[in-house]
Amino acid sequence: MNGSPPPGTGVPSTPRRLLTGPLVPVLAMASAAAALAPFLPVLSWAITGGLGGYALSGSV
Amino acid sequence: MLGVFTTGLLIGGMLSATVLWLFSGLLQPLPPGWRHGVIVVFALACLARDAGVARFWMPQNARQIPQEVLQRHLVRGTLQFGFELGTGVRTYVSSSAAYALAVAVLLSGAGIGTALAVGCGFGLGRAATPVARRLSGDPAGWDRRLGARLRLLTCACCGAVAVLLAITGSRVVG
Repeated sequence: MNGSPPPGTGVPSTPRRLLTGPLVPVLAMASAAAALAPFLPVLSWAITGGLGGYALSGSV
Repeated sequence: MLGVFTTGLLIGGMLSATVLWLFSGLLQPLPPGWRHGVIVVFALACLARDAGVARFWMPQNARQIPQEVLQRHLVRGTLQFGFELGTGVRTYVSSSAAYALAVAVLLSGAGIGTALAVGCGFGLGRAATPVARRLSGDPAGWDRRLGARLRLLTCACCGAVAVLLAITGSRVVG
């Protein structure tokens, strides 16, 4: 026992916390779908579907 | 196991999308502009529902997928668990965005390819939750952050879905 947490169980760094925040995928998917809508509408639809799936994060 | 789980999610999402696409043929006689209008208005109603501004009933299978599914056989159970979640009809529906998507697939008149893309996206979107949770390096902390922002997250997703359906829906309908 030296007081340090086991590997992989410490508090994540601030950038990592920010990049993996629960709202980050929403922003990423919404931006990507909007940007792709004029050129690749099918992919935009797919990402819109992804938003629908991710919205259910709170339920199992 | 995440790969197996995601495979189940993809199969479930594509199955539901295919069923919706099959039924969408029945609604094709409706005028395209009217269909697009209904898609957008319904998506906005879903956003109001998620924001707590409007209250109306939507169908859902009010149950959790039994834990025994995972206990019988790990790989097969994980696949089944993912499949049931991916269909969107085998457990609680905690966000109205899924309903907005279902109505959009029903009314947009999109081809089977687009419907399958939505189904795939839905499955991958559900898989994004455990992925983001794992990447965070602090799953318990991630759960706490999700819990604190759940209403915001569901509203943001539903709002984005409404805007995107307003944009992309018009490119398919008509």
